[in-house]
Amino acid sequence: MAAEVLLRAVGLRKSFPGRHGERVEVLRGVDLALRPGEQVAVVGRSGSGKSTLLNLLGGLDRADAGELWFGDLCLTRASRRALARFRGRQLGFVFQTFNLIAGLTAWENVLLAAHYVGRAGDEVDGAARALMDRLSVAGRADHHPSALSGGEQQRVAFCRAVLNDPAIILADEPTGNLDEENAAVILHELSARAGAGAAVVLVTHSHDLARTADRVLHLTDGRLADSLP
Amino acid sequence: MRAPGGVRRLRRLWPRGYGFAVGGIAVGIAGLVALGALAERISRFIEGGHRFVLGQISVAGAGIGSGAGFTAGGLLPARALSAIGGVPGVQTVQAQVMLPFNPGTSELFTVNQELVLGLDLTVPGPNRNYPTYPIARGRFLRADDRGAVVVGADFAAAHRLQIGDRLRIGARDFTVVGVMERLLTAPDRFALVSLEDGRDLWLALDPMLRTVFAGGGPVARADLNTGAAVGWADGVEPDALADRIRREVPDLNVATPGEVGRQLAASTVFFRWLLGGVAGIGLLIGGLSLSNTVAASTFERIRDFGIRQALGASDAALLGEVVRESLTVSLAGGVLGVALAVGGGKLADVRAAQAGQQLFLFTGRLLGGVFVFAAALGTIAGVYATTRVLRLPPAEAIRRGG
Repeated sequence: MAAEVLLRAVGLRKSFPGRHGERVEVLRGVDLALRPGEQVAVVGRSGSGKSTLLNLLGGLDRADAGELWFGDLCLTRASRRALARFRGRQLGFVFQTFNLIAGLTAWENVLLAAHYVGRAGDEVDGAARALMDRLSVAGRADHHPSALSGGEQQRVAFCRAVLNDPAIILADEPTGNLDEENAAVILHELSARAGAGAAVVLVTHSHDLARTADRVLHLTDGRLADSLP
Repeated sequence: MRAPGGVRRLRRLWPRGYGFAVGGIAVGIAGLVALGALAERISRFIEGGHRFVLGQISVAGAGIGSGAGFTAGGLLPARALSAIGGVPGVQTVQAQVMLPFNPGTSELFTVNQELVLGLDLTVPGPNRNYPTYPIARGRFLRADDRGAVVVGADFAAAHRLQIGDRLRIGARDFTVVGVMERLLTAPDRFALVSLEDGRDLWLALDPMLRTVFAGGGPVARADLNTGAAVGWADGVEPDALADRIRREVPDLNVATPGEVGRQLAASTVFFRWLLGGVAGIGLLIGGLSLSNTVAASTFERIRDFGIRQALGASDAALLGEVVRESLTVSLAGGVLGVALAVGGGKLADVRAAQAGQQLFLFTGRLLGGVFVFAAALGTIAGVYATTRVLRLPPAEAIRRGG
């Protein structure tokens, strides 16, 4: 029997204003079912709407139409507070450009994820330490992002994304700005998280990278098409 | 690896990267405080004048006179003083001689004119609001003093006078026996002498009076008064008493406290508008600088807010952080601005004191008001900017700030 669906998107549509005031429809009815432990790659050409889809799935943007369900919670109709709680407790977002907060150290950036869900204390500190240790950035804990390499920043950002053991990890071109060695570290960690039961959605240009996923979804003309990796 | 306790520490973080904002706020607050202190100084001067004239009934003789009394008029003869003393309700009548310290000064330039005030020290001070002149150094005049002078704080500063120094008034030398506390109003520029010394100075300064007085006419030395301060008994209504004096004693110019207060209010209406304008400009400059800086600092963090929302920050959590940071930054800017203004003002006043002036008055209500203003406006500006940013979806905030 198939595992219970963790995140379900039904007919998601999203458009943006064009240069001349017209609406440019990027997503034209996306359907998606995501199960625990599943690693899904979304591929498509530049501008096809991959990042837009990821933003909608993560509650970072609102769809024009369609529904998005996390278990029994309809995210498209959820209050701002419920959405914030969902993002904090259930979601880990890995950005292509890392998006660390410049004014905070690596350690503070990692702990920020716990801060917003009200977690504090030795247990969280220990988890953060262990994560940073495993990703070889513990020695850089007191440094600000500007003093870190791209690979280090992405590893710190990954620690921040997974500190709360999210049920869903959304990774937007997570290796796009990394060398092979750092890319391998991040991919290995994503696979490990999927192995531990998290659902992982990976947006990428790279077909090699996509092949590491359980499922590859092609985003074409604003719709997703399933294919084997 | 750093020590544990990081999350707790996050709550105490000084908002980094706000140095420029604090500096910008400080400049605005310094302007506000400086203008406010100028306004306070002018306000204290006007209030002090009001307190003085409302504390006594000022009387002069009929005519236009030649002295510089509180009330315009001619000589106030001894018989008039005696008659005033007999009006029911009058408690004290203090004969006075008021003269310009520098008789060459035009009446056009009398706003800050230095005055010599001769007082009849055999009677208690009649002014209810200034029954005595507070002394900072030395002592006040005694009834039998001759050739002794007590000077106001600005007068002493302008002439660099210390206790025991000699002060030349007209053609006579006086010994400084006391320096008054700074009252921030007219007596700061007074030189107080005994009534007899005042009469001598008046005679020496005014050839016409000397001629009249030497002619053996009806004018006696006891008639040489430019005016008198009249004090009232407890429970007596001063304006009604002034009217009664006017009715019962002929040939007087009597200024009722209420009337003088109205005249003073009318004559200072320009200053009151000026004060309002100064305060308004100060609030505008300080307020715009502060709110603009805080709002701009918040808008600059648009990407930060998007990232924090992606990490689970609720609107309330972000607003709480912004309020805390806005308060911290506004108050830090406020403290720095107040320090700049007070430091600069004190330096300017050191210079101004050499001319017997004080330009700034940094009162508790001004400084307290500035901190409340800074905290309130900074918070409002921060919350306003944050609510604007929060209207954006987190993805859009991250994209715009990227």
